[in-house]
Amino acid sequence: MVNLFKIASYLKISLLSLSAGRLRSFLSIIGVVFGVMAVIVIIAVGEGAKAEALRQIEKLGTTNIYIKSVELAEDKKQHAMRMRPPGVTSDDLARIRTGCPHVSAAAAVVEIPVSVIGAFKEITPQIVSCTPSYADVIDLRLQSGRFFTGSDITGHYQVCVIGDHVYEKLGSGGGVGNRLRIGDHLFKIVGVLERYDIKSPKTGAVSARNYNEMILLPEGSETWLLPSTGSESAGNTLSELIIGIDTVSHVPEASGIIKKIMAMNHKNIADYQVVTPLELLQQSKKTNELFNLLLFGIASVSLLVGGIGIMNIMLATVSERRREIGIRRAVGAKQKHILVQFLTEASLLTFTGGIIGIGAGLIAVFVLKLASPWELVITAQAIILPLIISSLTGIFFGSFPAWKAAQLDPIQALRG
Amino acid sequence: MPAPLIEISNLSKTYTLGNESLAVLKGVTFCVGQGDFLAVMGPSGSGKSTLLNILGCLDRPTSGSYSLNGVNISHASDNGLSEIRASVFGFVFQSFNLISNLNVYDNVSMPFLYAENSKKTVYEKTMRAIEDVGLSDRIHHNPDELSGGEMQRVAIARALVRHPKIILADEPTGNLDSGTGTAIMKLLKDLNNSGTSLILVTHDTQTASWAGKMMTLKDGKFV
Repeated sequence: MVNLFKIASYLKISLLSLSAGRLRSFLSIIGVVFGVMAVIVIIAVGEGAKAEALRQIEKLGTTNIYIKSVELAEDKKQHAMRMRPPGVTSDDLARIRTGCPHVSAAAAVVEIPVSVIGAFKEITPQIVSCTPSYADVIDLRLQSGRFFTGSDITGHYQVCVIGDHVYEKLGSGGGVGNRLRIGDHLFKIVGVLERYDIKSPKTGAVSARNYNEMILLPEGSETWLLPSTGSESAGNTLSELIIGIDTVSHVPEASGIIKKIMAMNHKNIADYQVVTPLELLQQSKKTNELFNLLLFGIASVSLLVGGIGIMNIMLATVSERRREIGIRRAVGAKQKHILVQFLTEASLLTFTGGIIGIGAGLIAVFVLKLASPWELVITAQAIILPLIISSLTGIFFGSFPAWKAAQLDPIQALRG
Repeated sequence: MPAPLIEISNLSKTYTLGNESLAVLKGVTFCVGQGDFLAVMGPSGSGKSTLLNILGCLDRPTSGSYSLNGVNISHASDNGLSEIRASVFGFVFQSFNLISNLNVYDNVSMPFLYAENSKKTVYEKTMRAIEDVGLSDRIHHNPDELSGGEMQRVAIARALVRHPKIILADEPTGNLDSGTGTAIMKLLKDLNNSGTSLILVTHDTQTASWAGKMMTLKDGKFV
C-alpha cells in the first residue's frame, strides 16, 4: 500500500543523510549532470536540424518531383551537344505528360542570368521565368497583386512578380503598378509574394529557393531578354521542371517512371537530376533514426559512467553507515526497508543530478542559440526523458549497494 | 499458571571461524516472566551479549529452543524476527547508538517507520516518550549537542516509544559517570515498575543490584 507519510519519511531520511555529506553528494552526481546536459543539448540540436530539414522539404512539396538541369563537365558536354540541347527541356515535360500517369500539374522554371538595373546593394535578386502553374505547384502566396496568367505569356506582356525582400529594397518604387528595369526592358510589377521564413538558403539539393529574393517573369521572357538562346526545335534548356503528382501515395511510382523516361530521353547522359522531396523526407527520417541511435549511445555511455560514480559513492556510504543499518534492523527494519532506504537515496541523488543537468542543458542551449546560427529546439520529451532515465540510473546502479546493505547481518552491522 | 514470556531451554551458540568452532553459549536454560527485571552478569567474553542478541532476535541459536509467549521462534525467518523485534523488544545499548544526522525527535520516532501508524499517532507517542525521559526541551537537538546521559535517555525513549513488552539493555551505564548512571537506572526501574519486563546485561554489581533477579554467566553457562 502506498503511504504518503512513509514516502515522505524515506525522502526526509535520504535528504538528511545526503545533505550531511553535501560536497560528496554533489561530486558524485557530476557525471550524471554532464550526461543529462549532453543529452539535452544533442536533442536540441537534432530536433532543430530535423525541424529545419522538414520545413525545407515541405516547402518543396511532398507531392512534387523536381527535375533539375545539371552542368556537365566539358568533355561530356561536347558529346552531349551533338545529340540535343543540354539539360532538361520542354520536350522532357511533354514526354512525361504522355508517359507518366498521375501527373496533375507541371511547372517549368528558367533561371535568367541578367541583372536588375538600379542595383540592389545587399541582395542579388534571382531572376527566373516560369509558367503560371508555378505558383500553384509550389504553393506561392501573394501579399498583393496577382500571379501570371496564360494571357501574360501569349501576349508577351512585360510583367513581373517580386519577392518580399525585393519589394522592401525597392521602397516606394516597389508596389504593384510600378516598373522595374531588367536588362534592356522595363517590367511592370503585377504581384508581390508573401514573406517566407527561410533560415539557411541553399543547402544542396534539399533547399527550396529563396523566394524573398526572387523576381519572377512570365515563361518565354528569356527568349528576348537573352536573344542568344539556342534553337527552338527540341525545346530550350529549362533550369527546373516541377511535376505535381495527384496524391502522395502515387509519388514513388511516378518518381520511378519519370526517372526511366528521363534516362531514355537523355540517352543515359546525366545532365539532369531528379529530386523527390518525399524520398528526401524518408531519407531524413532514416537519418533521424541513426541520429537517435547515436544519441542513445552517448546517453548510455555518459549515464553508465555517471551511474558507476553513484554506485561507488553508495558502496562507500553503506560501509560507513553499517551501524545505522544495525540500529534500524534492531528497531524492527526488515531487509526490504533497508533496501528501499538506500534505493531512495541513490535515485534521489541521480534525480537531483538530472534536475541540475536539465538546468545546465537549458542554459547551454540558450547560449548556443544566441551564439550560433543553428536552430535549436527544446521538446517536452527532451526534458522528461533524461529525468526518468537519470532516476532509473539511480535505481539501477544503487541496487547493488542497497542489496549489500540489506544483506548485512544486524549484529555485524551494530558493531560498526 | 500462564506460559512465561520467555522460555529458554538448553540453548547453545557456536561460532565457526574457518576450521575452528567457538562455543559461546553451552546450553543455558531459564525463564523470564511478565514484569520481571533480570540482570545477567558475568565477565567479558562470558557470552552475555550473545545471549542478549539471541533474546532480542538479532541472532539465532545454534541449538536449543527459544519460546516467546509460548511460540517457538528458534527457526523464524529474517522477516519474522524483524517483526518480533519491532513489536516485542526495545533495545538500549552501551554506546547509545543514536543516528547522528537525525535530531532527538527523529531518532525517537524512527521505529515507527517500520510499522503501520498514522502521522498523528506517531507524533503523539513520540512526544510522550520524549516527555517520559525528560527531554521535552531537547526535541530539535542533534545527538552531538547532548550529554552522555541525555543521549542514553533518547535511546531509552526510542526503546519504549512503541510500548514493547521487554526492554533489553546492554551495559546501559557503561559509558556514563556513576551519578548519571544511577539516574538512567532509576528511569529503567520506573519503566519496569509500570509493567515492562527488563533484561539487563552488565559486569557491574552496582548496576545489577537494581534488578529483582540476578544470574551470572561464566564460560557460556549459568553458575
